Amino acid sequence: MNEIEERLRDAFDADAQTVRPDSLRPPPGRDAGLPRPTGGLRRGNWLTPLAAAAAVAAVVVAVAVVVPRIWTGGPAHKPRHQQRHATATRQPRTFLTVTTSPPVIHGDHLLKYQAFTLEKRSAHHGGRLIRVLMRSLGAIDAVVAPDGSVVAVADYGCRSQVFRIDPGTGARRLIRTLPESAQNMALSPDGSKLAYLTYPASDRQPCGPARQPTAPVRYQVNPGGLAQFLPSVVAIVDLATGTGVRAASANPGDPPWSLSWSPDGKTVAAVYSNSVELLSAAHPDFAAARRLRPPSGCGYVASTWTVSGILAVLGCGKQDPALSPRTLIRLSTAGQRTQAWRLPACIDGVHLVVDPTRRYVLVQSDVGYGNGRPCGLRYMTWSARILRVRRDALTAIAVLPLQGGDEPQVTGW
Amino acid sequence: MTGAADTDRARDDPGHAGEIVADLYRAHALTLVRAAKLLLRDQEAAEDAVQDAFLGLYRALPRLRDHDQVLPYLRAAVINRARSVLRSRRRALLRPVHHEPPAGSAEADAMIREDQRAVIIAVAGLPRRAREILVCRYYMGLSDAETAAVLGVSRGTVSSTASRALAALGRDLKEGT
Repeated sequence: MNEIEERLRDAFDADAQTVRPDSLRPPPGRDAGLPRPTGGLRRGNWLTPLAAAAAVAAVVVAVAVVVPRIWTGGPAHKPRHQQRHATATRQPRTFLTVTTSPPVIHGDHLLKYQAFTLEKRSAHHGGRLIRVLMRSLGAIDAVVAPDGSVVAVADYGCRSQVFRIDPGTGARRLIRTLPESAQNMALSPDGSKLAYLTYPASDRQPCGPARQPTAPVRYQVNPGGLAQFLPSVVAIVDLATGTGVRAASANPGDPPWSLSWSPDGKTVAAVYSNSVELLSAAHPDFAAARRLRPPSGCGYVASTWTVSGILAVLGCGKQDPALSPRTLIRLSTAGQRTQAWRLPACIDGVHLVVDPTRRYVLVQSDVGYGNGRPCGLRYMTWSARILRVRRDALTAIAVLPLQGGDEPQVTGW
Repeated sequence: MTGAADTDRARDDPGHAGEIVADLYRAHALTLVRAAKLLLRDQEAAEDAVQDAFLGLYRALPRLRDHDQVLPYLRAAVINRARSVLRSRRRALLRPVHHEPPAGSAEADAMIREDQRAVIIAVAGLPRRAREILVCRYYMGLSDAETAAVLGVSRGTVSSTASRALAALGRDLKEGT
């Protein structure tokens, strides 16, 4: 064997060792609740008998559920999104964005209202647009439900409509109308309940337009006067019955944000007053909520809840933590920091999205904010960088430009 | 390992097919993921490729008549999936949006020496078929005949491509130093 061959073998072996047996994902379709094999195991004996049993069960499920569908095309009436559910433990191949198109104003007349478009994009091809799922003049928020369908809310101010959309065909069905604004929605792990932010009952919002104007409309700033409060109420509603519970934060000027459900569906987390508040989903109450406090001088900007803990974005700015979110951290439910990732520099906004299995997380970080080098539009393009959270690194899966008025925001995957 | 009786039983019993595939997964998934990572430079994509190969095996197992062909089938499936991923990446590069390669973790970086990294980078610059042949030969430890069967090329092609690839690597690494 010559020297090159020897170096090649040596390099291949060294590179292969970076793939650790304990870091491999479970076999296809495996039950997410079962324990994974842990470290120190060797090739040939690292699958424990329990895991082997799970693998066999997964294989049986895969053979019984996936294969007949692929081969026979599945039952004719089955929506495509339900076929996707069989491989739910693998990371999603697509993500959802809502692109906001700005209003078109000419002088003091408005020619077009602000509009929202819900899009399905590829997570493997730089965010390539696959399908437009919905357009609306009401602000859209959307997530992927556990059955693979998309649940979207169109917020018209005075009311909100909840739709279920088949991501394969774009066919949608109105499943509930809420009598109020609904923002920053989060779907419970079983898909039955919706948590959202709304305004106090004393601050009813005017109804937004449902159609584009057929003639120029005289433009008025805040026609109903300035909104008295921000959406400071967390509401949780049962989508089947419409019944729900709600909790108002103590300070309407400092609204909660970034709602997410615990994997067991018993708790809702919200970023509030620089902390992460853990509210009971059955009886939400900010006074009784458990609070995960940030380190001194810092604040949490966004959070989401995964099966391996709470992921939160931490900022430590002197004036406002939201202006300097630089670190993504993983917290235990006791508030212990267990892992950290460095976010890109020059972030203007940051947003976290978790998939329905509560395993895979996307981070949207809008970069270009700031004045001095290396930040600012003089030195960098203002863009939304979509990052996938991996075990050891943040990987960019797409960079979407933010110039030109249309601004995409990741809402689900 | 599977036997002829096993594959016959798998044809009639999906549960037994599951057991066979679980055994194969236990024995070979790690090696296949590592080989796919050498081709794709991305562990997540490598795991996807291997997962798809095993799902393909569930479907193909009842049709496989020769039980000795199961492992070559898996190797070929993983390499085919890796080719598809590389094709998709090339298409993605043609679009105006950026596609950033994943950054390696600090831990993974620490596990590989500078000279070894130089070899991996030089291999990544070789043509696709050359990379596949080198991975089959020098990571999977396959003979030229086995490599030819997995890649669907002649044995002569394997020898000549490997020889050219080694020569190119030698030049690259010499220039690098």
